[in-house]
Amino acid sequence: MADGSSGEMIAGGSAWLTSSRRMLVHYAVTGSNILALAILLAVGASLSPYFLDVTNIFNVMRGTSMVGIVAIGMTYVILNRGIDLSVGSIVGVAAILSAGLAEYGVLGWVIAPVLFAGLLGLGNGLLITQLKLQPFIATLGMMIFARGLVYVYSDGSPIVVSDAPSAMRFLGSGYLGPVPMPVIVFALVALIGAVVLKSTIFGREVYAVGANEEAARLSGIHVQRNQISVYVISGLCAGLAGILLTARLTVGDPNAGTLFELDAIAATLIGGTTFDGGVGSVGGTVIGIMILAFLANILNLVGVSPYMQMLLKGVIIVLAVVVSELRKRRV
Amino acid sequence: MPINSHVDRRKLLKLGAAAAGGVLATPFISKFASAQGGLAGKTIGFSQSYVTTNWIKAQREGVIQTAKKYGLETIVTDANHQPTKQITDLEDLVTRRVDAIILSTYYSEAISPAVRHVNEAGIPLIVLSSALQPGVDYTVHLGTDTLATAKDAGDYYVKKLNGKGKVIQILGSPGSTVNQHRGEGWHSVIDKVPEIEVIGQVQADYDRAKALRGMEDMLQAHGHIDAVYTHSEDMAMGALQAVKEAGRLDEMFITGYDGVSPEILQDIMEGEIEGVWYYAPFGTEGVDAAAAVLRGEAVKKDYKFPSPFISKANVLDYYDPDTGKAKVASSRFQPGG
Repeated sequence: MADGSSGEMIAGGSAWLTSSRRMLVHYAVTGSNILALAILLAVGASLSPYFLDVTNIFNVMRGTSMVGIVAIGMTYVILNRGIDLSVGSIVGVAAILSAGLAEYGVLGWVIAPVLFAGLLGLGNGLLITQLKLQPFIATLGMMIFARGLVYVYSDGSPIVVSDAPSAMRFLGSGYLGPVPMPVIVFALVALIGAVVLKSTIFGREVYAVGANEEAARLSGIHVQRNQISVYVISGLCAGLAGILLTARLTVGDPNAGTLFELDAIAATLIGGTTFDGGVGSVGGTVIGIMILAFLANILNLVGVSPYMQMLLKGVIIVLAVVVSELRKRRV
Repeated sequence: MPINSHVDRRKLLKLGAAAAGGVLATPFISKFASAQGGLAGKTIGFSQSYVTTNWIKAQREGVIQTAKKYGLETIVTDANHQPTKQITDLEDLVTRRVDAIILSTYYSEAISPAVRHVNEAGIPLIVLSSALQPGVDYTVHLGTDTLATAKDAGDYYVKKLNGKGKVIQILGSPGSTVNQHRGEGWHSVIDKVPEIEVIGQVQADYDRAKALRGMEDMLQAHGHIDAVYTHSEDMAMGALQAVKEAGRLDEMFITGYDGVSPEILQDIMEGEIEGVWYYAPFGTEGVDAAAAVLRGEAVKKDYKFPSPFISKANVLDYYDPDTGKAKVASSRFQPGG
């Protein structure tokens, strides 16, 4: 699932040479990540007889699907040479709205929260492009603002969805065949995210702007519109994750999504997308998120203490990025 | 600051500093509320670390409602999870010359300088729940004996499991004293019983979704589980969801702490949660103590309250199923204690 193969060609001849080298690096990193995931799964299977169980695999995937969806949006932003720290709080906004508006049907618990989340993403994009704020600062402000919105709306307490609509229960806890619904939503988002990035002009422009903003501008790309779009996409993804979280728990938790931004960024980086922009893929991020999720699962199954788990997670995130740096130098 | 923008400027100047002090708070409560025991016109300040859990919210409600009952004005501050903000909150309350301060903090170490400031100003200080650090003074501390409660929990497990069983432990946030006590006290009892085995631990940071995920893994890893010991009600409900979805509720029992949200009380009533050890937020008791101090009654310095176990047998003392609300627990504060 490596994509974005020729996106940078638009950015002009000289940029293309360096970009094609970049993509080569990305394939190498993605390749080594697939290998890492395979090794992880093999280790898991050998350490615990319960690991390669369909229920377990789908439980893990379901548990990580919300962060996973956020990470897809984050991939767009980081590819575009941005960063979005506000996603965790936007997940919270959507989660609490979804619970608070559940009585108004699908319009209330799905459409309104997701659209509102997209609006907050638009806010990020406008702050960055119109006021020329650095993405880090703009989204940091949004992160605090949006969490404030959650607390104001909920007065700081969880909103319990009494008599949750059956569609909500199905989305959160239902199955299609053996596959839990949140996993299906995650898969769909990943698929759409990958196709848009790989096969649309917009997607290629995301790469081009991230690789070289000036070159992209000179080649006629509407850079600002492109930048705004990625933050809207990131907001929409966070909104979707938020309503899934509420559907799963049938409770809107004011702390929902806290620190999601860090897991999403970690997954994106492990997946081979770099902070330099222009290099990376949705497929890589999906592998990154799976590495993180299965690692936690295996450590739980074999009974590693929770504190030790954090230590290992930190080491592995750094290790993954170091490995991809080393591959980069060799290619 | 709720300064009325229509007040014309000259008037405001005339009113002078004293009146401005009154405008800072909500001045109407004291004028119209029934004045009990000569406390009318007195103001108490309330400083909290962060209002985001049911427990903290119940604490705030307890303070506000009880203060109304006494005809006390209340200034409520929230540090928004920042120790530095709680320091300035306390200093602001000193500046406003409130008559007493009720304090609930997660950062007893960090805010010590501000507490000293309160001490120097000679303002009575009532501390709820988490104790302050040595070196600072307070007038009254109302706390739960968390370690003793966790030992009670250990005894309950030994008895309920008949001295034999496989248990999962779901922990809250590391760094929280209460979280540590809930682990240590419980372990100190059950670890003496060799056949009670903690077969898995999950750190879920008091978060329901994390407890749900962690419990799914535990259910996957362990063919048989007898009990799930969680450090909070939210995590107990997360674990319950995982256990129910796995269809294994008959196999094990689940306990938690706190007992302030209607949801967990409902679960206890329905028998899906074995029970929780009540963790009083002390908002009501805190204002009772402040009132006693302001009236010049003799009070003890430290009050330690036990945590009753809320189970199916006594849940109706804490929960009203008809309204679906938790009952406001009556004050347990007695000055003589």
